[in-house]
Amino acid sequence: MSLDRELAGLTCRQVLDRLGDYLDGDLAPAARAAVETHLRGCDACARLGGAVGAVVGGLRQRLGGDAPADVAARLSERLAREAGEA
Amino acid sequence: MPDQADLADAQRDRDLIARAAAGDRAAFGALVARHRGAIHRLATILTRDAAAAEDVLQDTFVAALRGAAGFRGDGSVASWLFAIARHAAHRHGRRADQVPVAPESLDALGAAAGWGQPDVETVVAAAEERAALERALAELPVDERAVLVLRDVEGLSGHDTAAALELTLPAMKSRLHRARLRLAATLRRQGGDHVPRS
Ligand SMILES: [Zn+2]
Repeated sequence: MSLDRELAGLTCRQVLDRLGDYLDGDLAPAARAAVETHLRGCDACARLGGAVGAVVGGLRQRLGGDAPADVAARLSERLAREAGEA
Repeated sequence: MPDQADLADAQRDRDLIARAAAGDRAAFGALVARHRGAIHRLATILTRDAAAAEDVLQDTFVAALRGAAGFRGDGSVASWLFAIARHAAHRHGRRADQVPVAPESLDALGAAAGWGQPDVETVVAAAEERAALERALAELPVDERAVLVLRDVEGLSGHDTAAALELTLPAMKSRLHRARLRLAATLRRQGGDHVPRS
């Protein structure tokens, strides 16, 4: 398989290049439509797009949260000391 | 594209830092509680060392406490805190992380991430697992880890991420895209290292 294959006026390489902006909603409407048409007809690009989209979603949903309680407690102690000295 | 909740959060941060600058300790405490998780996560990912990460976390908020009155407001409070943390982490930086990564073509990164490969689905499954994501992130170059944490984990806008990293918006976007592909490639490779669970 080659990234030079063209579909909907875009080669797979061009789609790969635009994938980040596509996932972030940063493409203009016409460019976005062209990428979507390509993705509907190109299994290789569609599956990679799905994988990268899953990575972005996973980072946002799985890695959030507060600091560990002991770390947060030591931070509060340090800040109380600093504020006391000011 | 910020949604209403993000805008409300950003405004709340601005109110808190204005009060903190005027000496309101409770307001500063609230600001710390809102951001310590994110700063600790960034510090852990940048230093890859629990003790250094805690130093960076504490140094960041000490600097913020002293510098609250100097917050200019041309970016978000979050991006201001991240920039402070990144400088603090830089002072703790490991030498190994200073070695520049050889540039890799987008073609090669796309192929490594699974373009046109039947096992690209392993990336989708691995991206659901916190431990797999953390393991893969730890393997990335430090600059790529930082952009992923700010933009994708913490959800900063593109503009704020670029500001925190002192990059132009196009440079940040290019690094982000490569980092996402490299993370996908790492998840794919690590998926192959493990017996898949059914
Ligand atoms: Zn394609």
